[in-house]
Amino acid sequence: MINQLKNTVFSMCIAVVALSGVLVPTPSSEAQAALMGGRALNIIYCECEPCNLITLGGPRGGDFMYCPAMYRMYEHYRPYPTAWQLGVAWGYKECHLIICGQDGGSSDDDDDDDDDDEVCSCEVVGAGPIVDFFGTSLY
Amino acid sequence: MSKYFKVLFLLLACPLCLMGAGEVKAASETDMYTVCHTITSKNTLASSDYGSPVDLFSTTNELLMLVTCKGEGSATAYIGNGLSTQYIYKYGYERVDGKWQKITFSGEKTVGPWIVGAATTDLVGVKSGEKGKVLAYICQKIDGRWKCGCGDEVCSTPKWQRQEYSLEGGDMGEISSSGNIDGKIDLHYASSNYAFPGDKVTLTGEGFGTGKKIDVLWNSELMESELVSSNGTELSITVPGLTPGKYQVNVRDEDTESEYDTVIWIGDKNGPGAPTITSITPEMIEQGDEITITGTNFTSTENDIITSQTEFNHMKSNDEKTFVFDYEPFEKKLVRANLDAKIVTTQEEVWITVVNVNGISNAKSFILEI
Repeated sequence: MINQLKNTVFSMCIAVVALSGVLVPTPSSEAQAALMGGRALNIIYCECEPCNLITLGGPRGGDFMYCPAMYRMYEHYRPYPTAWQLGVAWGYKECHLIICGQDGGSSDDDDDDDDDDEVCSCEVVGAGPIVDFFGTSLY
Repeated sequence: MSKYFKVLFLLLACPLCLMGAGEVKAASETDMYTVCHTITSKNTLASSDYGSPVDLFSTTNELLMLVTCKGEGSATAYIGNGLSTQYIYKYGYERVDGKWQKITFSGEKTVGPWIVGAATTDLVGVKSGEKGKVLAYICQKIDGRWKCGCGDEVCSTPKWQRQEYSLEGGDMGEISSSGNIDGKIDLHYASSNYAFPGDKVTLTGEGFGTGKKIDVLWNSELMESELVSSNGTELSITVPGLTPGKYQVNVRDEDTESEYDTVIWIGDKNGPGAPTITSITPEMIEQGDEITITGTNFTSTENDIITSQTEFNHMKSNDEKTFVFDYEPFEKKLVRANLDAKIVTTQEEVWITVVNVNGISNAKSFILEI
């Protein structure tokens, strides 16, 4: 009887854990505080938001969104490769670049103009936690 | 140095120091700061008398209340997102073991009883198994109107926002932690980027290996050989009697040279003292516009101008008081747009520091319109 009860509870726990895996958003989309620190290795200047996506190496690296309007920066004010970064980040934000192409027009277009219109859109090129405050090395 | 940054330095530097130095670990662990708050979601306190410690008005709901703990002895709260659209009431409350106590936050800028942007205070430390709580009253200017003490987006009933903390606390988020598992030598940074001959400077890195013999190169020239690190991550060196100037400093063991080096300027003891920046004109520019940096103790030929966007080397100042140059920080002109790909204008604060044989200057900022 006790074993049956244990099995039932265990099965329920498994079910809850499995269900939570479906319902709970992935860690990267939650607003969790995280320490960040390492050498800045790469930078992408996002074009559709006033931010830069910077990749840090270890010991606590990854891709981070540096948005000047959202962060507090301390000495030595060098948020780009190859300076060392120490800080806290949270949340999650995507970095977009403007991608332009021809729209191709439509077959019943009466327009004699051979030049297709250029159509631009913002495309995601990466994402990461939003840097809240940080300091850097001088070199 | 700001208290924020000091805490972060300890948070991050200590794990770094411990890598490859197991014998130091036990002694140092009790001195480490760790993120120890436990509430990271806006829904945690949704039905309580308190608001969750997050920005309820942003799409990402970033945390507005963060706590770090240092062993069982102490904890520190950090409140606010740093923006001038956020005011934090200077008094708050903390509770450990069932008793509420009034606390006073401090910050760099105050308006009456309010602290603008970012506030901090020390808290009572918690023991293992205990839960600490801290309350703050935060106002935000949303669409031109102040929203104060909000528990939800509607903000119909004023609420204090609450964060909790415990030593077992904090979720560190999805950040990769990596050490130098292959033992390869890697120089990170120097304790000072400006020193005089004979000064002691500590080089921090990885793969220095206890007992490993390490050479130190200054502009590729061997200056010290067969040095030994005491803990595998730090190397104490003596600045050689070289001609004052800028030097790329690197380390190597018998197998390899570090991929990255660092910079140390050797100063002149008879020099006039560190450079200072007194003004930057105009105060707002666009990319490519001419900028004038005025100050003292610049040198005529070799200066590094380090900005928060790029670095300019070998800068000249004929009168040793001004730099005049076109500010082009990016390889190609940077544009900003909204998510519909329509070009918009944004402003960014840019910080400038001047480094030369006379020392490292203060930092001063201007606005770049992009």
